[in-house]
Formats: sequence, structure tokens, C-alpha cells
Amino acid sequence: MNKSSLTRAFFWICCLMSASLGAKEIPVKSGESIQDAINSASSGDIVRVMPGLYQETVYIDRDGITLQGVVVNGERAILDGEKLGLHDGIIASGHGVIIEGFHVRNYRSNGITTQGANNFRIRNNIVENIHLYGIFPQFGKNGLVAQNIISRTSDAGIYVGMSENVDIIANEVFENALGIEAENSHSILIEANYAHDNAVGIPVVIIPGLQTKSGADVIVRNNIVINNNSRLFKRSMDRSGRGITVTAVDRVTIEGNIVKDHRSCGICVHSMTSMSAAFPVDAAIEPEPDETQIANNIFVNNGYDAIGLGVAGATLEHGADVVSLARGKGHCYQATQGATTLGLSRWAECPSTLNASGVQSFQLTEPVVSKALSPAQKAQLTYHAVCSGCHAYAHTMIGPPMMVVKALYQDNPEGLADWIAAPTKKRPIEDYPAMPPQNYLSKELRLDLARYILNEVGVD
Amino acid sequence: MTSNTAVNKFWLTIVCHAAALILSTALVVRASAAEIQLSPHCPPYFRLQADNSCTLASLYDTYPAAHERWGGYRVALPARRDGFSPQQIDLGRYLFFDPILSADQDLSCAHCHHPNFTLADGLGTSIGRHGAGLGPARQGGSALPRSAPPLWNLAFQQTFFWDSRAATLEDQIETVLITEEEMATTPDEMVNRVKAIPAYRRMFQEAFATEEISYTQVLEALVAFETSLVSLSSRYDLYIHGAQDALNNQELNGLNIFRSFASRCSQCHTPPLFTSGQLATTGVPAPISREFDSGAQTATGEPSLRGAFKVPTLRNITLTAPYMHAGQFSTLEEAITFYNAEPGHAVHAESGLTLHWHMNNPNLRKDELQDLIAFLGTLTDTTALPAVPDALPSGIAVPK
Amino acid sequence: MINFPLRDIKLKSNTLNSSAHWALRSIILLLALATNFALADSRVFACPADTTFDMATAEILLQKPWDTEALACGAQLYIADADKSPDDIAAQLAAVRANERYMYYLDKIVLYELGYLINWYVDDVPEEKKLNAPMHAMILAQQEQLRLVRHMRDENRPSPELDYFEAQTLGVSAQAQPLLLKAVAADPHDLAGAAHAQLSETYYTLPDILGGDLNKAVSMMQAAGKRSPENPRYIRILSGYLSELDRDEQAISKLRSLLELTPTQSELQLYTDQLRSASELAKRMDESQLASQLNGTRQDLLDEHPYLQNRKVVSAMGHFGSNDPRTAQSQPK
Repeated sequence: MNKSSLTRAFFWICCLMSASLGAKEIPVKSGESIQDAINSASSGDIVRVMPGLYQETVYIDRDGITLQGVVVNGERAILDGEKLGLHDGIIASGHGVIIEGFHVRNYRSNGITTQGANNFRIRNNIVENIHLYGIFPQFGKNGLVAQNIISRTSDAGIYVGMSENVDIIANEVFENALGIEAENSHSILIEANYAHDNAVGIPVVIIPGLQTKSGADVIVRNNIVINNNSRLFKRSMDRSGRGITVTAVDRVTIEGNIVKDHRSCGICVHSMTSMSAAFPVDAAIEPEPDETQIANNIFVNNGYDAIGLGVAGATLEHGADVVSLARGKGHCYQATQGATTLGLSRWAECPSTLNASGVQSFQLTEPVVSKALSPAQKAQLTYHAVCSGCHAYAHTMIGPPMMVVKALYQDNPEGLADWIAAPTKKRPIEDYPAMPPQNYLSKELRLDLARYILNEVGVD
Repeated sequence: MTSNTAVNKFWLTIVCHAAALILSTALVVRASAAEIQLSPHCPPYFRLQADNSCTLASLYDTYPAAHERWGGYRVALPARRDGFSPQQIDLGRYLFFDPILSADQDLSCAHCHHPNFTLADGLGTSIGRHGAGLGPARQGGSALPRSAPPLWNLAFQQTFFWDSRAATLEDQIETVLITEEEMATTPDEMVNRVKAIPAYRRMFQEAFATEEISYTQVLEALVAFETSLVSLSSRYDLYIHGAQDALNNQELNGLNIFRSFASRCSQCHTPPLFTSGQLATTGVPAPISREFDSGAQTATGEPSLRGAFKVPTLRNITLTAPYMHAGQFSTLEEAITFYNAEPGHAVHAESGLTLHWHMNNPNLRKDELQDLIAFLGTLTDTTALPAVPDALPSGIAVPK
Repeated sequence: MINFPLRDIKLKSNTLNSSAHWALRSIILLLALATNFALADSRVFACPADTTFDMATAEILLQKPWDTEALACGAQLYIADADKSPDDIAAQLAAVRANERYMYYLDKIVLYELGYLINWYVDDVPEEKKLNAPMHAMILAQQEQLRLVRHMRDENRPSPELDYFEAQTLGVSAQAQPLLLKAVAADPHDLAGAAHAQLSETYYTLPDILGGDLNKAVSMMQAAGKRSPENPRYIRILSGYLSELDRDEQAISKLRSLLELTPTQSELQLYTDQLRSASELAKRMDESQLASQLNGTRQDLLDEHPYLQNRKVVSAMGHFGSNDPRTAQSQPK
């Protein structure tokens, strides 16, 4: 274990320890609602879902929640969207979410998706028959997608979109249009996955016209990529028959994979121009991939046919184990005995140490956090962001003046902190509307807030 | 979930009472023009800094920043315009309500953006110069082609007007000032009218420490006021900040449909502002007896923007019927039903519109439509509605 | 009398002579998109129900690139006329050119239709929805144009110009390469480097193992530039190629030279289009100041000439869509 992984391990241990301090486990049994359990969870809690059929969309909009399907004798908690015609299996916007152990199937949109969530982990799930993406982290930084089994999604099984620092490890993806797709993303590790019987196994791409104009630093390592020739989905018919593809992404390292039985190519390297004519020119994108490194892979029987492998009206008569239709700079290839190549004549021999050699993981050693605020600063911000909507110091707004509140609770910040969590009517409703409970603010924050109100709020 | 309905009723009560109270509570004591004092207090949700400027405070700013303005749920808000003094903001409030700005002294900003109508006018298309009355009862006068958008969260916007043709709030205000069908004046004439009023001279002196009122200061005061109108504390926001009971089950279903990639509502009405601020052609029909409005095409000359309008925020949407740029739909149900159909179904097949690529019939069921509507109701927050002044420096009757 | 560039084509009438000449000039200048805004503004047309050919009508319709219906109508008028007189090469050429013009703008408009790509990716969208009307029209137009050009080639002695026309219709493709090589070898003055430029693009687009060659692409684009030194498209494309060869200094100076051009009215659209791409390219090379200069020049032109089209690249499948660049603001990098 090297130093960085030690630090990481230490970090997660710390996280678990701090979480476990006040953390609770919330069990969900078959017939109960997972969402109800999520709703009663707070940061650090684990929602444990027992085997059974659950027909709901589960959503997690708070930080630090673990959603765990408990596997008993191979039986899982099944999330099924078919009967109710549901859109998504699990949606998470909260940071630090963990989703594991589920069987998610038959949804109209995505299986498991995170939207704008950082520090996520999605592992040990089975996802099948999904209309768009199986597992879809989007706009996230620092995450893990591991040990999931995903099949029959009419787009990508795993789709990492515009994200950074994500590890995709030890998943099985099959009979999808695309197996594992990394799009316009940076620092992505795709390792030890089994991608078979998709139309394309592992595409690493830049798509034009999106907010992010580049993709770089992707490692595709120690995967088993077999027989991705599927024509099940029209969407990917034109590209079917490819194992691993790189399109315009820079610094992609492809190392130690087993790549077997692909009609067009085992590994295909493309530029934007050799990709698809359907996209407009996006001059902000540098069209050629640079520094692709292909080493230590095992190739068997790739490129036995060349259907669909060509550019601008010119087609290759045969494919090969490794085909480059791109230019770009600094590519290298370490020859594998007996492997066939096309378009690699200007590629250099790979150095003994590859770009990615030292990289064990792209996850961050510390999670992405918000701008640090001291408790006092946070209390001050909360006062203005929440209280000042209805209260002024000396005059009446929607609620009574803070002067009055101060007089009532002068030496009792605890009392005030408790009261704002569950306000009871003090005055006739005709004078003031009831105050909404502020129990979503943490106990510590409420106490800091009460102190701020009693000690700091003056003529505002 | 035991008491969802009760909880919901409780929240509804709050909103109703909040609205009622705001409308009946005046920040200033009854005063004649000569006695008007500018408020030394920042508006709700703003913090007074040591340098006498007001900065917006929001719990969203405790979250990590959204990368490259992607939007999201627990993300920080984007850059905003704030930092005006309480006096500038309050001066802006008086100017906002004062018909002295218009050539005929019969039209103020508030005539079309009135607190009684959630900072809009409740009309499908607004009425400008020489109109009489307020809100849906307003009549006569110049018929304007589009509706008055409610003025929430302008501090975050990059472009203004339905067709995004103004790049700053100042440009937007100036356009209304000089447009013949609206205020029909010129900057010089307007400033001269304001200057002639002793109370304004005193107020500008206080707000800007200036001897001579300038056009720029009038605009700045109006901008200061308009950017103070924030709505970021709805039940939805409380939910996102962690108040689980703030939304009931139906509303939460609605949220999940709202953000599903099948319906794609959230792709343009992107949280937390519930607008991407971008132009989009949705292919709404022209209102009855009106010409088709080319929207941003006219402003830009860009054919692919024919019929494109700026994506409006959905905050307070339940309170701001009718909907679309010319009030084509009178209920949310009509508006959502429009999106739940084949793209382009409401316009002539040959109309040459380049419909936005997120237009895509999501085939939502009836119950899902109702859930969506219920969710939109959770975006209501009018705590920052401004008080209507009791009297105006110009002595002209307050529009109310 | 105008100097008609195709040597072996006989003309029937003076009217058609001038229209054929117009056609050739426009095609040869690689769709310089001459647009007479004043003329376009002078009259309002609906596409005439009766398609009696009237060149003035057709021409005015073709001057409205912001109005696809008008463009289609203008092209239809020319094509109908060509269909009536299959022997009249000038009429055929005029139709090619009208068609070309329509396609050029549709092509750009199709860029805004990428939403349909999303549908393309989803299997339960009905077949007819996958091809939207403009895309369909463009495919038809391309087929029609190829038919017209080949017809001309059959009817006339081979000429480098016709080789080029056919190649031009085939687009940047391997099939166009042999035709372009012939046109480049003959190098007729009137092609003004257009064949060189297209050949250069085929060298660039094709992978090396399929006949591509970046160095040849550069020298061929330089040759095109020599023949048409003020063509902003050639300059911008060459700059992109140079940057890929790590010759950034040259690439940047090429981009800078764009600022020195003084386009005529008929070249304005092409120029503004190229300024956008050039600005993005400059940004990519970390030349932010040059990028904003290029963009500023473009903005000034757009402000000054309301009929110029903006033509930004749209976001495709852009989840969240918050930066769908349908405003004048550029997308964040």
C-alpha cells in the first residue's frame, strides 16, 4: 500500500468513525417504503433494506446517507419501476452518498443517477433493462462505481458524464448499447471490469457542444473486454464491433486488458473528425487525442471484419487488434506478440513506466467540501439567510422584532435553540403567522444561532 | 408518514399569512412626501456590512460551488449583484412606485410589477401608457405584445426581457423609459422631473452623497431595489436544506418527475434558480387574435431563434398566472399539458421553428402531471415582497 | 459581356448567361454567400403557388438566408426551370447554385436541430421522427445536386471545373479525392484555390492509413491561400492544421491576419462565421486576448449588419443545458 492509499484509507476510517458516533441504522423490510426510511435518516445514517420487491423511486437529497440493500442468501432488495411506470430507480443529489446492494430494473429513465453530487460511492448493485443509463453519475467530483452488474440498458451501462476523479472498478456490463462510457471527464480510472456483448465495450469520448470541452487522464486497466458486437440497439449499430475506443481524449492509458473477439477492432483510437459526421464542428475542442499509451494487453481475434470501420467514405478492408484513425502527439504502443495493428506506424515504443503507472486511484484523499466557515460565521450567515426574512431587530416584519425575542431568552440560548426547532404559537395567529420549524438546522448550529441572536444581533 | 396532510396544511397557512401580513404591513410610518425617510435597514435576507452595503445571505452558499455553472441541488448560488446601501435600495423602492418616471406621469414600474400581483400584473399581455387600474383589472392604454415577468431573483440574471435583448438591468430599465408605448420619456426629461422635487433631492443626497441627481444614479437606485427582490426560501429550499417534512409525498413525486431525464424539466428550469437563463424555442402558439411573436429572432437576426424566449424562473410560478410570454395558458395544468405532447404540435408544421432539443414528449400520465403541479407549488416564497409606500416624493397617488 | 468561365458550354440567352455566370462564380468562390441585404429587404414573398420561373423573384428569395422557406422556394424555382429545359446547361448550373445555397444554410440550421440526435439514440422514437424536415431536405438536395452535376458532365467535354463541382457535391470524402487531384493538376484560374482547399480537407480528415496526410493538408491549404489570399476560411483552417503540428507561432499569426481583412458585403457571412471558429481556436491555444479581439470584431459585424447570422455551435445532448449557447455569450471552456 503506498502513501496515498494509506491516507485515503485513514480518511475513510475517520469518516466511518465520525459517522458512527451518532449514526443509526434504519431497517426497511419488504412491504415498507425505502423512502420513508431515507426521510428519517440524517447524515451518517445507514438505511438497510431487506430483500423484497420495492416499487418506488428512491431519492436522496441530503448529505452523508448510506443506502444499503442487504443481500440474504443471494436475495436482494429489488427496485422495479415497471408496474408504476417510474422514471428513475435511485436519484441522489446529496454529497457523500453510498448506494449499494440493490437490484434495480425496468425504469423509464435511469437506474441509479447522481446529479451534482460529490464524494459518491455506488457499488454491488445489479441494474437491468433501463431506458437510458444504468448507472449515471453526472457533474460529480470524487466518486466510486464498483462491483455492479449492469445489462440491457439502451444507452450506456455505466455513464460518467462531465465528472472528475471517479474510479470505475470491477463491474460487469453486458448487453448494453455501450458498456462503460466516460464522456468529457477528467481523471477517471476504469479498472478490472468485465465488458462483454455490448455494441461497444469501453468508449472514452469527447462529445462536442457540451459545457466541458475536454477530457483527459483516463486509465483503462486490467479489464476483460470480450465480444462487443451487439446489434441489439439501433443507437449504436454503426459503431458495434469495437472493444475499447478513445475519441480525442488526451492521456488515455490502456494497459493490461484482455481484449477478445471484436468484429472491427480491439482498441480503436479516433480523432473528432474520424468519429461521426452528425456532430457540428466545435472549434473549442482540440480534435486529436494525445499521448495514448497502449501496453501489456492481450489480444485475441479482433478485426476479423471491417464493417463500419472507416472515415469519410474510405473504409478499411479489415480491422485489427489495435487501429488508430487519429493523429495527435506522443502516442506509444508496446507490441504484444502476434497482435495486429493498423495506423500505428508512427507510434513510439512505450517507456517502461507509463503515465498512469503510479496511479492506484483517482479518488481524492479528502472529500470535496464547501468553503470553510467557522461556527460563528455559519450562525451569522444562517441568521441573515433564514431569520432576517421575517424578523428585523427593532421593527415588526412578518414576525416580531428580535428585540422582543432577546428580552424573552436573554440568558437562555439553549431554550431559544430548542424553541426554533419546534416553535409553538406565542401570540394569536392574527398578529403573526406561525413560524416554520427550523429543525433541519443541526443542533449545534441552532445553538450557535441562538447565541448569535442573543449576543450579536443589534441594529441591523 | 403519519401527518403529511396536516404538515402541508400548516405550511400553506404560513404562506397565506405571510403574504397577507406583508401586504398589510408598511415599513414606513404614514408620512407626507416631505417627511419620507429612507430606511437604514437592509431588506429581508440581506446583511448590513460595516461599509453600509447590503449583501445577500443564503444557505445555498454553504454548499460547494457548482462547477462551470452546472446547477444542481445542494450547490452554491452563482455570482450575484448586491452590495447596494439600504438607502439606495429604499430610494429605488420609491422610484419604482413613482409614475414621475413616465412622460405622462401615469405609469410606474409597479403598474406592471406590483406586489399585490407577486411583482407582475396577472395579465396575459401587459398594458403600458395611458392604462388605468392595476393587475387583471388594468385597462385602456397601449397594448403591449408580451407579459410582464415577475421580478424575482434578478440579481442572478445575465440577460433581461423575454427575448434576452438587454444585457444589463440598466439597459432593461432604459428601454422601458424610452419606449413610446410605455414611459415614453427621455433620460434627460425624466431626470429633470425628479430633480424638480425637493424630497428626491434630499433622498438622493442621502443615498448617493451627491448635490446633483444624475441619470446613472436613478438607474442605480432602481437596480439596487430590483436586485433586492429575492425568493430563495420556499418550502422546496427548506427541503433541500434538510427539512424533510417541508414537502409532502405528492410534491416529492413531482420533484422526481421534474428532474427525471425523461421529462427534462430541470434541464432548462435548472435549480437552484429554476432557470438556465437561456433562450429556448418551445413552439407555444400565438395568443388568440395576435400575430406569432418571433421572439429572440427579431432581437438577434438569428433564424434558429425564431420564436425563442428566455426560460423563465419557476419560483413563485403558482402565483403568477397566466403563463408563457403572452399569457397563452391560464393555468399550470394547461402549461404542463402543452409540454406533454409532441414537440411543435401547437404551431404550424411549416413555421420553420427550431425547437429546443429538450422538447421531447415525455408521455407523462395524468397523475404525474398533477404531481408536477403540486411540486411547482412548493417554489412559492414571497417573504421579500416589498412594502407599497404610503406616499411618494412626487406627491402623485401611489399605485395601489 | 461577362467572361464566362466554363469554356465549352453554349448558352441560350443573355438572361441565363448572367444567371449561369452568377451560379459559377458563387460555387467557385466556395459559397461566398453573397447576400444583397438591401435587395432582400426590398420585397416580401410567400413562396409562389404557381412556379412560373421568374429570375428576379427567385433571386430575391435566395437573398434571405435567415428564411429557410424563402431559400427553399428560390431553389425550387430554379430547379423547376432546369427540369423544363434539360439541354440548357446554364439553367442547370443556376439550379445547382440555388440548391447549393439552400443546402449551405440548411446545413447550418441542421446544427441547431441536434435535439433530434437525442431521439436518434432512443429506440422507441418512430422512424419518421428521426429524420427531421431540414435534414431530409438536405439529403434530397444533395442527391439532386449530384444528379445535376453528373448530367452536366455527361453532356459536356470533361473539364476541371466540372470535376471540381462533382467533388464539391461529394463533400470531404475519399470519393472526391481523385476528382480533386485532376482539378488541382489543371489548376484553372477560376477555381481560385477551391479545389486545393477541398483536397487539403480530405487529406486532413482521412486517417493516414486511408490516404490522409497532415503535411500535405498544410501545403495544399497554403496553395489554396496563394490563389485566394483573402479567403478567411482557408486562413482559419490552415491555422488549425498548423497548431496541430505544434507550429503555434505560425498558427497564431495566421489568426491575427484575419483581423486585417476587409471583406466585401458578399463575404461578410463567411467572414463572421470564420471569426467565431478562429476565436475558439485562439482560446484553445491560450491566446485569450486574440480570442476576444476576434470575437469583438465578429460582434461588431453582427451589430452592424442585422441580417448576418450568428451560427453558434449548439450544445448537443447537453444535460442541464444551462450553457446552451443561444445567447451571445460564449460557452465556458
